[in-house]
Amino acid sequence: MRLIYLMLLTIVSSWVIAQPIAENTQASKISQKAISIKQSVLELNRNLYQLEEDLLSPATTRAGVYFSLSYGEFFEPYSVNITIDDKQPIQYLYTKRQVDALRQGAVQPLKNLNLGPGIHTIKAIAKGVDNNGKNRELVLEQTVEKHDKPLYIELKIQDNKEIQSAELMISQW
Amino acid sequence: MKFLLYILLIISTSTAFALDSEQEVLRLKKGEYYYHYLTGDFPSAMNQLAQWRSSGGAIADEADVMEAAMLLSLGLHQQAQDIFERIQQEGSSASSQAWFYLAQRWFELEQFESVLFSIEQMSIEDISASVIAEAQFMKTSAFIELGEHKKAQKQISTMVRNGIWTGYARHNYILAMFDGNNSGQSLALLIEDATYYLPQSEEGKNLKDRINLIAGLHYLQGGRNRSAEKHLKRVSLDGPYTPAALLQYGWGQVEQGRYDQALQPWRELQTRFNRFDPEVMESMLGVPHVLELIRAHSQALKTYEVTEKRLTAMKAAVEHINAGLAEDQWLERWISQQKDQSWGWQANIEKTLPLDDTTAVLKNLLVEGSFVNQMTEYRDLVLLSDYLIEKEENLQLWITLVDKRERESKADQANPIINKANQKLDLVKAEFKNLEANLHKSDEEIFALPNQAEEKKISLLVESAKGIERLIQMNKASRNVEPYKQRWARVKGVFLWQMSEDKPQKKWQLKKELVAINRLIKQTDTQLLEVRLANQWAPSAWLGMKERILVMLEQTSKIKQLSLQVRDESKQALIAESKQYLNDLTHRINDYLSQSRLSIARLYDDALQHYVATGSIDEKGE
Repeated sequence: MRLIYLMLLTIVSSWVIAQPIAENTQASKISQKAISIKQSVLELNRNLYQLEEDLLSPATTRAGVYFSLSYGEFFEPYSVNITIDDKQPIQYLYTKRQVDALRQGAVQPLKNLNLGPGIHTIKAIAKGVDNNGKNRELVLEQTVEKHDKPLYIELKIQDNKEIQSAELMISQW
Repeated sequence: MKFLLYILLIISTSTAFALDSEQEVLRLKKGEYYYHYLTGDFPSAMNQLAQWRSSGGAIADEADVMEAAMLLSLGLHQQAQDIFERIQQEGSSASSQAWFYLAQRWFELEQFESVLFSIEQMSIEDISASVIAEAQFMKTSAFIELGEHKKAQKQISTMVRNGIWTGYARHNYILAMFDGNNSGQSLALLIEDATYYLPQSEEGKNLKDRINLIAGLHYLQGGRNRSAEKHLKRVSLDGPYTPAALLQYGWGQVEQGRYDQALQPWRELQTRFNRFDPEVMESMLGVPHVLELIRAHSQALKTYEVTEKRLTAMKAAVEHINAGLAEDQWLERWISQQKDQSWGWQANIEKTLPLDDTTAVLKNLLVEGSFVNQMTEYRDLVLLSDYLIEKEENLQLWITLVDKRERESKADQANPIINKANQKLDLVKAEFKNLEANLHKSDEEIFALPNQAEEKKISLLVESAKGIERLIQMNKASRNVEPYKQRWARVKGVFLWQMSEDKPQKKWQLKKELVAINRLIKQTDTQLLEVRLANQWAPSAWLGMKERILVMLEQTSKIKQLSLQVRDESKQALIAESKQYLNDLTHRINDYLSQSRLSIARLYDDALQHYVATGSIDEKGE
């Protein structure tokens, strides 16, 4: 009977400690192949991403719209709605995790677009709540100019400590 | 000299602007990488990583650690190992969060020295309390695994007393003490501490059960039945460790000769838990064994017979499931229930399979870490194969699109349209110049800027003048032309007066319209220029793309084939292992069946012997 206890103890102990320390270091042959496939897929994915970017938006017409949040003390975004030349509407609803990422300095790639050469009008509305929990809308309308190089447009919600409020700003490169 | 300075100023300003612009674009790329990383989209993060790796300095250091953590997350250990070794040699200034992720993954891989190194790089000020607690747990466990128990004990003493991670650390430390044959008061106190200071949550309750179970088993092994009983009694009746605790509690009672008290937990076990659980099966034979011990032979015989029937039915069920296991879609059902469609270590996978006959029988196999890892790997391969199939189809569609773009571009439909538009614009410009000239001439002309009615009146005046001239030429004495001349002159005078009165208004209106037309002409000029530019840029949408797509298509097809092959191999391995498990289960049931049948035979034989000896069928000793 004691032998059974000993065996059970060994089994349960190894099972129990396996919960936080779970993985078998000796990868099987299939695991090795799976790892090799994962690596190939990652490389392929990277190349495919670049190819699709070039196909969808050649450098001459490429434009990227980005969204960022500076501090985010006076405004928490729920959604953004952007139109370019009253066309191509971009709409986005934010999750808590995404807002947290933006607060930590992340920049959201909202959309890659194709824009012809010349001047374009951007209208943006960011809906959310201010630091008092009241609903607020930040509105912006501005023109940007597209040349033969890729255009980067950044919409940024910037805290303004002097007026204790946030404002929507646009930059282009 | 001033001109030279001016030029230099322009050059330096434009260079600074270009540098600023590059920095800003890099900032956006880095921010985009963090966005993907922080929202858990690791493949997209990997795509971004390459774009800002080359920038050097602190960013590249951070990228190294993050890439190592992500490669580990995606299960690419070897690549991560290479980067990690380089980091160790060169030193790095990555964030604490990155080092934590790396430590977490090394811990999973049981690389404990690397765990300690990664945790050493973390700065407590930068991270949240829950991250600190988990890091401390990993550090303690790493010390235990490396045999440095004193350091582990010291580490536990610095942890929050009633945290769940502290509980796990204490649990691992207790196991290490069992392995080292430690006993005595300090062990008992440690177990008491570990079970007392736990959070009031489901996880805390399960951990408490686990510690009590291992303590009970340890004391049973040492023959300390009372201590064992105390801990086994503390295991809750609705947790994952209940079956093992009930079974062992029963055996503990048998060991102490308390047969009646052994039956109750085993009956509870058989009523409430899966009949294929090893504990339940063991208890099925345990109950009649105890009945035999208390000399209730008839009851023991009946129970053995019931057990034999149950085991026969179980064996048939297992054999039936085993025969159809390869065709059964239990793995596919499990994959389709997953909400998270990402692959790799950090994918949020529901590891509990949907309950059906197959998964109920395979239950104990499906909780084994190595088997779950194999299942997760199979799921990864299914997702990767699907992804590759989709990408292959996309690439074929891209070829069609690029062909179309090339055909349309070469057909040169745009240039004739642009040229036609240009000719029209030239005509409009000429018309505009005419109008402008008319406006300028209007000061000198008396009948300038007439409207339609006025033009009619002018032509009537001209016709009338011609008629009067004809009459003068005829010069008949009977006809007096003078009144006609006077009347014509009067009408002309009034008409001129009216036109000259309207003239400033007409001039102002024409000027306004000319300005508007000029603006429209300029806009059309710009638009035409932009269309020309767009037409010039159009070949970039297809030039050289087809070759690139074909290369990618070939690569994708190759990887897809390999992935499908490994996916099938992985499934076969899972099925083979499951079949082996079911075979083992059948063998185990067979063993129990043999035991029950032997016991039935033995009991009948005993009864027969007794009958032959005494002539009575009464039970012995009753």
